[in-house]
Amino acid sequence: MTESAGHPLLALIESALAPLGARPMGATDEALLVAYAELEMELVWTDLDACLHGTDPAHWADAVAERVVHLAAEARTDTAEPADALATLLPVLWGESSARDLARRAPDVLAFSQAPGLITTLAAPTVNGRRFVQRAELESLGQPAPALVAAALGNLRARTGEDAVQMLRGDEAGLSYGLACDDGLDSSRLLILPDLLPQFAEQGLVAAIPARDFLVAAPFCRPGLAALRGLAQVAHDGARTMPQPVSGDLYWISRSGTARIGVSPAADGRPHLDLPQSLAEHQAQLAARGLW
Amino acid sequence: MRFGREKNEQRRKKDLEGSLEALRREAAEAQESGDALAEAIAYNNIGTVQCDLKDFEAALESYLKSAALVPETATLDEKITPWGNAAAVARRVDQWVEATAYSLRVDALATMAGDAEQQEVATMMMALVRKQFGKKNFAEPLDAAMAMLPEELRPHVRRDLHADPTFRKDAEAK
Repeated sequence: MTESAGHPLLALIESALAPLGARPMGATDEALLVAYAELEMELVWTDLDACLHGTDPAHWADAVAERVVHLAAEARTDTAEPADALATLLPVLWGESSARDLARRAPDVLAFSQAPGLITTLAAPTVNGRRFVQRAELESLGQPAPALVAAALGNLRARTGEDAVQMLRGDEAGLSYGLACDDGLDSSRLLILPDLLPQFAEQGLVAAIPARDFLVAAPFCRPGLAALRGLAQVAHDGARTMPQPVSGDLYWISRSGTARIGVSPAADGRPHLDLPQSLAEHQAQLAARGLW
Repeated sequence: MRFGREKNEQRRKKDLEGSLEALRREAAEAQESGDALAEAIAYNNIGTVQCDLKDFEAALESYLKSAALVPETATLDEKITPWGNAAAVARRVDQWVEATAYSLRVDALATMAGDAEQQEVATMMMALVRKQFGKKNFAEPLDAAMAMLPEELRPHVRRDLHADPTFRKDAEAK
């Protein structure tokens, strides 16, 4: 959707494409939702212009929907050789609510649970964007599911530039990081965060992933504590207001595991963090080893 | 299943509209009694319900009204909350320079109060807007947003930190 950002028609197009809260669009409604669930497409302006040209504005939403369904049909036949496919697979992270919708609309999409409350799908590039790998394709890809996930994570690592990890703050008052990769997959980088910031692999990092293309994090150690509230606020607000929301909670991740830290609004406006027992124990262990 | 989902959605919408009515009455009563803080809190909550109803333009208006009503005697949290909410909704409706300005307000207020936690909230909010503009193109909208701030707040903004956060490689080289 980057091509359409800021254009007056954006609202119309977004409403036409809004996954799963979409308004009824007649006969194409179901087909559109399934297409959207299975695929993620870049709609370039020339393409949209062509499909809107000569159409009564009252029917623009239907025209866009029909175009999406048509592109979806094209993309489904857009398959690569297994070796090429493995080299291009990328992980896409979904929060609980969008994962539920995905499972209902496109139950055949291959999905994995790698962190509590999150699922990962595998996206393969198409001419117009990305399509999600289906269960039925496993055999033709010739690899067990864990190998596909490992390949996708490896591909994501390879396309994460050295300057992608940005220090947001690094003084005595706080330590926090953000990602800036501009490929729409920053939330997926939660799964490789200990590799991107290896100096904190043992303590782990706490990250906010409110939307598909956003991740900010702080190390799980004393200097990172000041950032927790900011992370919680951004997670809570961002998941309510950003396009392609993922989660309003925070996630702790290290090389040894993951945990979800629930975020709920409190009466005083400061978000309340529900630290899981496992993380409290981890903190005590770090303190005992002088790492806190 | 689809029918049930729509029915639940309708029920949720009706509940939210009911809350909106109650909050509007609350705001009117607070205005009548001259309680500016109570009125500001009511408008902030109205904005949150409008946000849940996906009426983002109206929500932004409510948050800005709330921010304007908050009295000088209010706590830092009370002063910051509507600006933070306004920034989130401004991002949603593609008003990115305004979102930057509202985030800078949070930054200035937090810095003036020496509140490190709230400063971090502002840091994260700025990360969101900087990402939208791109680091290289951020100086211009940042300055435009600075110009939207009241003059007395500008010196308290951590402009350098927001304009040029140190990349990891640079930081490690230091």
